Amino acid sequence: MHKIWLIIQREYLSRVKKKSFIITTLLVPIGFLLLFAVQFILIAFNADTLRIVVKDDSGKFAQRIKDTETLYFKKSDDTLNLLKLNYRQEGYDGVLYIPQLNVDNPNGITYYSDKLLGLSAKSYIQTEIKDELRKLKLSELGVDDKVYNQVQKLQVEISEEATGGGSSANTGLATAAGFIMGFLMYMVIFIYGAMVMRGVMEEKTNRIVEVILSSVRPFQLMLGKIVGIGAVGLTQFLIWVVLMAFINLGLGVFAGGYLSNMQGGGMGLGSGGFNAGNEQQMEQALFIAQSMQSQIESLPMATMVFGFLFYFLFGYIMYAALFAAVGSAVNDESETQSLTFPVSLPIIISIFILSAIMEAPNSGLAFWSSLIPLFSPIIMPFRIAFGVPWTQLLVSMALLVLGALAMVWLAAKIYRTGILMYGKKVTLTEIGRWLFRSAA
Amino acid sequence: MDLLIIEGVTKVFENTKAVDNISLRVPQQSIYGLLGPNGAGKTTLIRMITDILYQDSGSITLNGIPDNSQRSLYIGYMPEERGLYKKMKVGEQLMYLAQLKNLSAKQAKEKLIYWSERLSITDWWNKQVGELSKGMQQKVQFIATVIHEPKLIILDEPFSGLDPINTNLIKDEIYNLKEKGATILFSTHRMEQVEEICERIALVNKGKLILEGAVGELKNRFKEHKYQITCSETPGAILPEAPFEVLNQSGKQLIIRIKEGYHSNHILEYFIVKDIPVYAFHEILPSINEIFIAQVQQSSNQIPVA
Repeated sequence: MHKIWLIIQREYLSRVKKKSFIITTLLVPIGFLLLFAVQFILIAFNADTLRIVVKDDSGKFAQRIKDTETLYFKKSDDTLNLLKLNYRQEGYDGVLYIPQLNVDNPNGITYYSDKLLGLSAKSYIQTEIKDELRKLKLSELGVDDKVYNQVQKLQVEISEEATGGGSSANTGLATAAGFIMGFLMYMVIFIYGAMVMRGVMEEKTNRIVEVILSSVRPFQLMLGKIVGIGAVGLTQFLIWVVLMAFINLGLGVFAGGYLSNMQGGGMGLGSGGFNAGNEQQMEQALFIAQSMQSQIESLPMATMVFGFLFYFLFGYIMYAALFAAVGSAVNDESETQSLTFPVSLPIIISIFILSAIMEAPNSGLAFWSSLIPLFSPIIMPFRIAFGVPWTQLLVSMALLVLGALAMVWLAAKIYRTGILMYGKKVTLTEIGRWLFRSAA
Repeated sequence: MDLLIIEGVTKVFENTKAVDNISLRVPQQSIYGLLGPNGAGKTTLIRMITDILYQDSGSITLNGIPDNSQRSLYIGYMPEERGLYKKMKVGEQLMYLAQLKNLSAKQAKEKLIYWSERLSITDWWNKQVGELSKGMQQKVQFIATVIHEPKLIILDEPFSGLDPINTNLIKDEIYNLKEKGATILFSTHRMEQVEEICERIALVNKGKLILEGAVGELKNRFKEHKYQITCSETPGAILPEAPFEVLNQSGKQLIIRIKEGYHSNHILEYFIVKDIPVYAFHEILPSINEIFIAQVQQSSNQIPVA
């Protein structure tokens, strides 16, 4: 035990102390942050302004629709036909026509243009007009503006909770989250599995393995390497999670600051202290971010994190053992190709299954592949996002643990023979024979 | 007392017998040579001694304990193909390897300081092994082999790739370790070193032990009764009834072989009778190299190639 511990320490420290480890560990969250920032900037500061000329027959709405950072409105009294003919020459993108509206049945609002209006601009104009219509209707009924504003602020949110492990309601988000989990698992198994393979190969080609093996058992060396590199992976995750949490917190503070700033701006709107259009836009971006956050919170986060760690741990052990066996059987990098293929095949199949079951997370294929140890590390994390009955989860986990142990046992048999075999290229059949040999 | 006793050890790979029923005894505090051509089974035998491989049959006893799974702790092994972690620092690497041999961190450090000063590599502790010269790497490898004060030190071609200065340095260390009580098993196919260093040798070919014994005794056993004689003047034609035959003559120097039934004094008697003064007279013993080649050829002829 003492020796395995020494080996784990060496494998772990020699990698964690490397510059490349430190750099990638820090760069990934920074890249994530940049991605987020770019997205935010794109939403908030979209530079292309849409110029719209408004023909308002009712005369009640044109002044109500305010400019934003990306939308510019110009009221016109020309006839609609004239405007339709001339808007391009006058430098506008389109004509918004508002007829005399019946408050109870507002029909006939039309936008004339050679280009589509775009979703956010359309919903903005609709909201503005609807808002004004409501005010009109309410004042017709004798309701004061102040009362209306109070009513506006009321909000209700429905939180969803799955029962009996059934699927939760937000399918789109669960699919996305599940796919990200499955794909992430695919990547980390490959990355860390290949790291184990290279480590084993390095020891073999360096010939240090013979020195080490005169002190420890091959099994100890193999296991120490697998565990040590696994610990490197977990460390990287942990650092990422902590950094992401900090970044998230930082963004929250940033967004919160913006929000309070905006409220201040809203109060001082009359004095023109804050650009009203910019405020609208910002509000929209924040609304999207907030709703996403609340939706993400609707996912079974605790189970997902636990599931990811568990399936990473044992999925990694299972595949790392196979990669270690491959590393032990080859003489140099060029020989790895043909032998890594059979090892990678189940992982690649898992990704195919993953895309096949995206639309049907509760299908038979999803069910069975999430139980088979070679596939479950990638499939089950996907399913967990939708909620999986505990019994299925437990069976799948138990099978994975057994599968991982069996794989370590088999790999050890290949490893102890392969690691001392030099010179000739090994075939799959030969490796097969090593499995059935008694102690080396 | 024998430190290492190998009894009837056999190891079969696939269909070939890499080691075939080998028995030998390595006396305590001796330098023992394990000789054999490439592919003779030396490495396999060593791997079984170091407990890297298990023998199919037979037993290996170290320090009086047969087939002890802990015996690798008492063995220091330097394989022919040297190996160290290239990207690891010298100090860290030696600490690691020493601790794998069950030394505590404190003991390992003490030993590391001792050996580093002895082989003057202290300045290299924080260098990566890959940055060192070949000779330096050899020194590091040697320290890794002996740092835990093993009872049995197994050196596979320890001088290959070393310059003459470092060869002498390591040679002195080997004698020194022997003086301190270690036993050295020395695997090589360089015979001049064997003759110089080893007290006993075992000759292995095709997995079989073909010869074993003390160096002097073996030379004696395989002597061909040849002598070299230097006379004061060129002797005339040697008569057929002389007790020897001439193998080679260059001026005053003769190389002869004694005929059956005679011994060295009969040769001298011949020259005395002829009144030819003899300046020098000594027996020519076979070199280990000659014994080695003769025996390998003979055993190869006897055993049909499978």
